[in-house]
Amino acid sequence: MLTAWFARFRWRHFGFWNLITLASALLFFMLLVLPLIRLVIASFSPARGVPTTDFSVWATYAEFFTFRYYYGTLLNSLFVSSLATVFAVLIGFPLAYLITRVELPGKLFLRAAVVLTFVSPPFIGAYAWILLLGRNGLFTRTLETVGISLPSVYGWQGIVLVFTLQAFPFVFLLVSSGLRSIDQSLEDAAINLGQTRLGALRTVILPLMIPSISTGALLVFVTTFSDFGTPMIIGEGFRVLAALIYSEFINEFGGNPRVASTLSVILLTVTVGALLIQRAYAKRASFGQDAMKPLGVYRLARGGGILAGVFVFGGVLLALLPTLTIVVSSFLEARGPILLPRFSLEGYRLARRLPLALQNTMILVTIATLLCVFVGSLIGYVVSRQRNRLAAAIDTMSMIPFAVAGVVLGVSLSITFGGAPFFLAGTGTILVLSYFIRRLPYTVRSVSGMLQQLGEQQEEASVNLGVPPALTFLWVTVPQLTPALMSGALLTWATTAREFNSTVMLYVAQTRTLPVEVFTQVLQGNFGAASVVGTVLIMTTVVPIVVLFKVFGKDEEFLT
Amino acid sequence: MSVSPESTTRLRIENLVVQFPGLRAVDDVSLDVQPGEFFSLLGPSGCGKTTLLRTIAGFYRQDHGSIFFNEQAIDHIPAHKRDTGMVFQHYAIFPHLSVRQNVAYGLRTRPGTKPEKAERVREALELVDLEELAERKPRQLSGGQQQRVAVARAIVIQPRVLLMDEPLANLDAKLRVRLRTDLRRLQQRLGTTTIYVTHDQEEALSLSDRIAVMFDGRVHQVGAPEEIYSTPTHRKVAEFVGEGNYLPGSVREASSSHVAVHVAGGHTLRAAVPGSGLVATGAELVASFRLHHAEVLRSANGATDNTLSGTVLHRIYLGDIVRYLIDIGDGQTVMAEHYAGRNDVRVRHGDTLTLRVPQDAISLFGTDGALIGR
Repeated sequence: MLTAWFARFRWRHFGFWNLITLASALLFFMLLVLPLIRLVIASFSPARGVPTTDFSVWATYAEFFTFRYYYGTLLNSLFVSSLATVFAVLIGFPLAYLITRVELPGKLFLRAAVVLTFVSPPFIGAYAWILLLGRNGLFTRTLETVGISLPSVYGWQGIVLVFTLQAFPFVFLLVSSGLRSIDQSLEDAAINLGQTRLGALRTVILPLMIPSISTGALLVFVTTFSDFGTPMIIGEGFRVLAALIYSEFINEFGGNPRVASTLSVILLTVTVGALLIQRAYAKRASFGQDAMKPLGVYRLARGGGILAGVFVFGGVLLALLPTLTIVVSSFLEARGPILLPRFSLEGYRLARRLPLALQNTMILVTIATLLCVFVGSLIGYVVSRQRNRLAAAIDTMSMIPFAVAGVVLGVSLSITFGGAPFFLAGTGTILVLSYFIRRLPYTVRSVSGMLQQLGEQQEEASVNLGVPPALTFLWVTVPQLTPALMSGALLTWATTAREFNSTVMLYVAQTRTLPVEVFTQVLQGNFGAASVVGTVLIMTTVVPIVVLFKVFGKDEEFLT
Repeated sequence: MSVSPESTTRLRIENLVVQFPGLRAVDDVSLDVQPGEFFSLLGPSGCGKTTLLRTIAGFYRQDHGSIFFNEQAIDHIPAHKRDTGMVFQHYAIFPHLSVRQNVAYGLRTRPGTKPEKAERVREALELVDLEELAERKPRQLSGGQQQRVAVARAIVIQPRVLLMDEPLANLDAKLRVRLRTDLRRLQQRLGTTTIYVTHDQEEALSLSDRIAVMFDGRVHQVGAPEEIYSTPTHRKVAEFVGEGNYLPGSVREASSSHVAVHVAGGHTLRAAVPGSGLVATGAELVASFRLHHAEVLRSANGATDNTLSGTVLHRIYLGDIVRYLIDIGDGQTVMAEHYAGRNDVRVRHGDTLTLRVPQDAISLFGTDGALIGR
């Protein structure tokens, strides 16, 4: 049976693509499946110095669910992420609906601002809000002078605030693009049958948006659940699971990272579970439709228009505030955590470690991006064009990184490639690998989606005219993919430059990147220096996005 | 363009089987296409004709059987080395290349100097009358022009066999008829063996030297257009190519020169089919005739043999012809047609009409669909 299958396989899909298919499968296995297997094994193995005889494989798991110190973090994480998810939907959906449907001034600004929030580095919001609402915060002190005292921004409230504002763009972007697939005639039909516009929203549009909303909610939940930068900065003793992984991993460095592995497996279980639940749910609610004539824009009655404007601009500005705070504060004179209201470029002059971090970010991110584009287009081709079990397996494997949190990936890669026989610990290579595998699925998705749209006939025509498969790919497929690949590369660049959660598990002093540098400065209380590095980081992520918008005429839809 | 030896390839297919999961798309097909022949594969959608074509091109691998170009088995030659010029249904023009670059594409991997290749491209463009548009991008072309680019691109490589997959299906009716003539003339000029896939019987009849009619992965009949149309060997072929009436009945009498069949409404049809020994009295079969082979009469006028009489249910006016749906009794209807004269007396719903069917216009099919006699 196997030989028969192999004979068929070899013939039907030309030699070149067989090779690529095998290589792709091997790549995903090495960089993704193997590390995750190693992670699970590590969680069941005894730590160094523990005799194997009195060791139970379930020991760490039992400990986790016995001690509040451990399981409390899981409950805390579930609590803040769930709250953030609910709030993100409550802000993201109405914002997207209003900006899409209602006549409002400055729509381009609004969309650009949401995208800016989306690409700005994670935890930046956390210390920006401390600058504004912390004990010595700008707003706190201003309001104190008029006798108003604000509730504390530290602890879970602050985490939820930052998570919500950082992550609602997921919901916003997915709902915006989802709304484009709804035909105006559906709303017209509902109104014709006696619904008000609001009734049509509730009875027709909202149910059709469930796949988009739930996907957005999933992304909010998974990213916030795996983030530990924000909780560590603003949480002040409110401990979450991801942060615990980080500190355990740092403590266990050199030994067997048994506890960090166990915690990672638990975190992975939650995120994968969330993904599976959402997939099953969205599948039932999905109707796969296309709009001939997309939903139109209408004018709200005067009062409603003002209300909508206040909500939309208020929400977007609130989300944009941290980024603005960072940029402005980078030009202020700083004394430790205290910023003085005096203009100064001292911060930039004194940022000693900035050049190295910037250089590292540039080099590592560029290499990872090029790899992503090159390998991603080949794998995207395999996934959409090859019809065999191996290609199907690659398709499935390429979905895994969506559910694997950066912190988990960091631990897994470190266990697998850090020591013998690879010895990649502390190298730039291991960072590139983590960026590459994390971002690869996006390139694969966008390439395979594009190829599905293009169809197979042009490639067949080329092969029929005597051009072998590899050359056909180069001469016919690649030219047609180029625009998609270019915009995919810019997006990969922008999102990789801000990567933090896996970087912080894998970097050493020599390979520190911009996000790590911001984080270190914040933890050391050098808010001025953090703002300086943060501003540089914001620039590195904003420039490619601006290029995308200006040169490629893209809008925010491609981000989804 | 010169006719190279490769362009007169004999294509032989032996017991070809192509199996898809749960479907035998091509089921034991054998064909022998002569050098320079214009050969059509005709059949309804899903009959396996495109699969057969794509198997010849090498996009599918057969599970059984062989394909030969001039006695050379090509079964193990990959698609890009088969030298078959294919014209795709949706043309598959490369959107990023100009018309000239599209046509020149197949020459990139073929030997020859630059000027030689440029000359061949020019000739091919001239053949399809596209020199003027050579520098255009495909999106600036109309459907008919794109189709001609696709043809030029396929012929410039001087393929051993030209494969066409419904190349006219995406054009409007008038253009389709015009390009049909162009295609045929071009093929005759080049002399390239051509396999042409279509579901349009008129296209197949007007273009082909020979036609293979396919159903459910099988070839039911191979023959010249006239043969396919006038002597279909299977009821399915008869029904697919041209229109006819099919009247179930039973044999009243079978002689060495005739078979008389009892059909609905107490009518008897006598067919010039030597039936003795082939059918038994009382056997069930189907008597059929082409619509235009029956003569429409206002009254029976005493003619009783080989006539069908009944009342008109519908009159369908088609401009050049008029059709009548006639109830001949026992719930059986037949369709009749005649040329619309300028001063025809109008036949109305409920009028009685008589059809006279010549004996040699009647074919008999067994209940399994196979032709009886001949």
